[in-house]
Amino acid sequence: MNAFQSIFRRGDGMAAEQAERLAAEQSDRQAAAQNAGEAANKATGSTGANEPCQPETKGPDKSTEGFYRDAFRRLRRNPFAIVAFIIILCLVLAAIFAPLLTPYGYAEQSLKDKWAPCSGTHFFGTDNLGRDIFTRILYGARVSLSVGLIAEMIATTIGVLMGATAGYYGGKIDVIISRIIEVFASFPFMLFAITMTCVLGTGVINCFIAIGLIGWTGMARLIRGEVLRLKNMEFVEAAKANGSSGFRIITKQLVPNCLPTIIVILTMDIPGDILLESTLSFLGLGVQPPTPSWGEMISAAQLYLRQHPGYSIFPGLAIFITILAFNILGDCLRDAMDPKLRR
Amino acid sequence: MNEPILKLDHVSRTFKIESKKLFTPPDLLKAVQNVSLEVSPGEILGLVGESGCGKSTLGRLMIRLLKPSSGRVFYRGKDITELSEKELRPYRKQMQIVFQDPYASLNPRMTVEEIIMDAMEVQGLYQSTQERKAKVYQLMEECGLDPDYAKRYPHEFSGGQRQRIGVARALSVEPEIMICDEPVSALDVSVQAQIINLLKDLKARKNLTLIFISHDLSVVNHIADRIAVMYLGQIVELAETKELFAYPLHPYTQALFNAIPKIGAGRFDPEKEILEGNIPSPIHLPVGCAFQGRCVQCADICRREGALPLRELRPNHFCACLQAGQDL
Amino acid sequence: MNHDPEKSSGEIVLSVRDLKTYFYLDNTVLKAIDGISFDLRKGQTLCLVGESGCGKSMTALSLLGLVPAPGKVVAGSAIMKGRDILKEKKKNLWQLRGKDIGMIFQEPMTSLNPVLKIGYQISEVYRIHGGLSKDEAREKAIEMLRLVHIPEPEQRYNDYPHQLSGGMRQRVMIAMALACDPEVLICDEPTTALDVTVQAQIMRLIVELQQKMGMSVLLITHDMGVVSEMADEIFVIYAGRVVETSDREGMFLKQYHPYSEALIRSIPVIGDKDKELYSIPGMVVKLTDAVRGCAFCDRCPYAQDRCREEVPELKEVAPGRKVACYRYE
Repeated sequence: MNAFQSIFRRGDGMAAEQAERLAAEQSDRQAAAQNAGEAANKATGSTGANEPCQPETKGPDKSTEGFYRDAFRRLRRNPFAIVAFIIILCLVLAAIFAPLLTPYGYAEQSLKDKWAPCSGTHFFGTDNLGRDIFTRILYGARVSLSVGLIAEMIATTIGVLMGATAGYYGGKIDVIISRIIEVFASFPFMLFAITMTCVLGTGVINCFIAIGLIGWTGMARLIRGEVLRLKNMEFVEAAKANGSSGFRIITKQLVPNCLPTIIVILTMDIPGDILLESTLSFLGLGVQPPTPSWGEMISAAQLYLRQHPGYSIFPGLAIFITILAFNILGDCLRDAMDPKLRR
Repeated sequence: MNEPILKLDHVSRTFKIESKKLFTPPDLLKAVQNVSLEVSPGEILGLVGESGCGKSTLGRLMIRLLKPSSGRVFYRGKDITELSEKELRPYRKQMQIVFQDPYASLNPRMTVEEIIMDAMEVQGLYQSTQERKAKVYQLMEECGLDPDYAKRYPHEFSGGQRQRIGVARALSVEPEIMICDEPVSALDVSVQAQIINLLKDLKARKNLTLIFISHDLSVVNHIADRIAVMYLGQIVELAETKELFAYPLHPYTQALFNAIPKIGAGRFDPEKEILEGNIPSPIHLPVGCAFQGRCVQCADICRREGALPLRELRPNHFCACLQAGQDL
Repeated sequence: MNHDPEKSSGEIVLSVRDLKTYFYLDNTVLKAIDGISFDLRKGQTLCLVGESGCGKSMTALSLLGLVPAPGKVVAGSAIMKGRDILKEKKKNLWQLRGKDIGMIFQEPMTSLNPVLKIGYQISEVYRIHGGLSKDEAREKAIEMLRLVHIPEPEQRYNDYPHQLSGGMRQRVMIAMALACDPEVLICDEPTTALDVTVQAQIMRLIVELQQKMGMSVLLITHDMGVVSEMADEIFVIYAGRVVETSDREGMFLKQYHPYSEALIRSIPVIGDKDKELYSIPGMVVKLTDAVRGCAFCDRCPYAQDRCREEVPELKEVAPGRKVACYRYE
């Protein structure tokens, strides 16, 4: 119901032309809109720290929406977010239920069927060893998604702790940690990954560790910034006043306030991690055959680029769609959690 | 006279401000200069002054939220100046603070229950969560909040209610001393009255010692037993409330009184004498009385002496002015 | 509301009738202003008084077309120099702002652009509205700085906002607002963020400039002290409506509306220390609730049944005094 209709319905007795003009002006204003949160504040004429009209009783009479619930509501209404979420959900389900979705094993070879085109029995065809590509894509999803999530968990944990510690304590600790961040951030990933595989050997687990250990710097920098902003707020001073230790303040007071940032960065880093895993497997440093990984499949497809160019399309498409979905979801999450857009 | 519960002995606090130029030493901001003060148990001491006078800093120095750059702080006779954070922890139970900003002083991600319980957990009071929760509900009732709302978040409450939560939090560890740092400045007039009445009531029932910091003389008048007027980091006048309001001696105190709009006194008279100029920067302080640039009674001698000491000009009425009291 | 042509002297510079500004939120309508009318006379100061959330700030924004979305002015007129400024096309509003109506806000730090020199910001007003050249504008800006008693105006011209104190910044704001000699100056809580000694200086400045330049002032505040020293006429606002109007002396001698009465009583006055401060019991009604009767009736010690049914109209109860309350009918 737009404003124009609402005026009419209430029967303010305004002439139609007047109402029309005001409605037009309103859409003008909305085009150059400020955010609704500030608007509501201004609406109630709140002055500085004074706040909008609320009952001066012993408590709120109606629960106003919490931050997460409000963000979730906005997310729900965003079509891009919904589509992205469904795609990711499908991928996760496909990865989990892969054995149920395909009769073939990922290592099952059938040399007589090699290079079969797409058909009813082999949705995506077969590869040079007669293995069903569709099956390998499904199992490959397991690798990509688990690396994306687990490596990101490792990176997040390290990043948040380092960033929060640097931001909160400041001084020498901040200097030291910031330098460490810079060292890790400047480290060429490939070199690091190769070193890691020399030390740890190849395989999925090492993928997690290598990617996790290099990917934490972005999160650390951002969390450090958040904590720097938060640590001067009075609720932190209040925690100091009751004798809380630094660790307790960081974990109980500061990190929960950084959660929106953490969630958004997490979601947007996952695509990067998946790509890194693909690259590692492509170079033969990650997952080893016959375990399928999308990156490894593209690597193998190199040899057959002339005769069977289609071979690399499916894993490439899989990577592309996955990364796109996570990126879109992360973007929508960031918008949903933006406090300025709250009502 | 009882032993003072808090004693400050020549306490100063300086902040370093990074200078804008390379290779020059940082500027020193003298937030609090050479303050000596004693607070009796059970009294309400008002700290009054405008922005930059150091009253908030002084309040925090009193409960060791800040460490003095020089001077000593005593709590019940014990020197707590040099104690580490860990050593201070048991003392923190006795000294609490209520903040000015009802928005920034409560963690938006914690429920009211968690906020009030936090201090009890840190101090290790009560054996079980159940007991702590019971105490939380009791405190909420005492502070005029409905315990049914303990699981709500701060943003759901109004400013006045949030201040009550802040008061409940401070009281959760049963302190002896409470610093109230401009607790009503951000609230509407009608709500201010509620919070002030609450503080007075709680103080009487729990036998607290309150340090009430404010820039509003009329508010302080209603609650404080004794008032210290601060200007640029120094106490310029110290007296009991009635005495101060009847006989303001320091030129700055007089200017403060003059500046308060008097209800019903008629339209603002542009000819009326008011304090000119601005508060000088606390970084580059002149030698002598800090008030010299703006004082109508300033004489040469005021510019020469160092930071002036408080002299007792009337019974129990101290003033740091060389000119005041000459006509007494 | 009727005109009272004999009542006060001076021509009417701004005449606002039945101003309504509503905010259209997700499922509710927030009636920030629900029918405010007033006449601002030449050379006079009219005060809109009320606590947070009563809609007084929104009045100023409505007049200047600055109401942020999702709010809009849904009704009312504001006649100035023969035209209704509420009906102005958006693209013409810039002429109004700064030239006919100047406005100063509460927080001088956020109202001034922190990356531009203050002198530049003032001279900008001259260049836009006066069409002056850069040098001419600079001269006028320095003159303006002198007029608002900023010492060493030539040097201060090149300062950035953060280098000035709160009081000085507020003076810069006043200089900007008055640069083009507007007929009306709207002050939205001009002294709330300032120390009390600086507040007195700013009040004196406004009074002085008002006498010199003959402008009318619409003063919006919750500070009764400022009201008592500056207002010629007082309009008490509660929940978006005017509940009482009065001249200055009358308001502090006798209040008619129970809210005005309560407001005056809860001011801490220097005097009896041990008396408990009076506080208004109950709650301020949310502007989003559909209120049928008088918005104050839940907190009113004199509420009757009738108060819950219908909104009382603003009626004259004594010479120069109007009140919207059934007690007087």
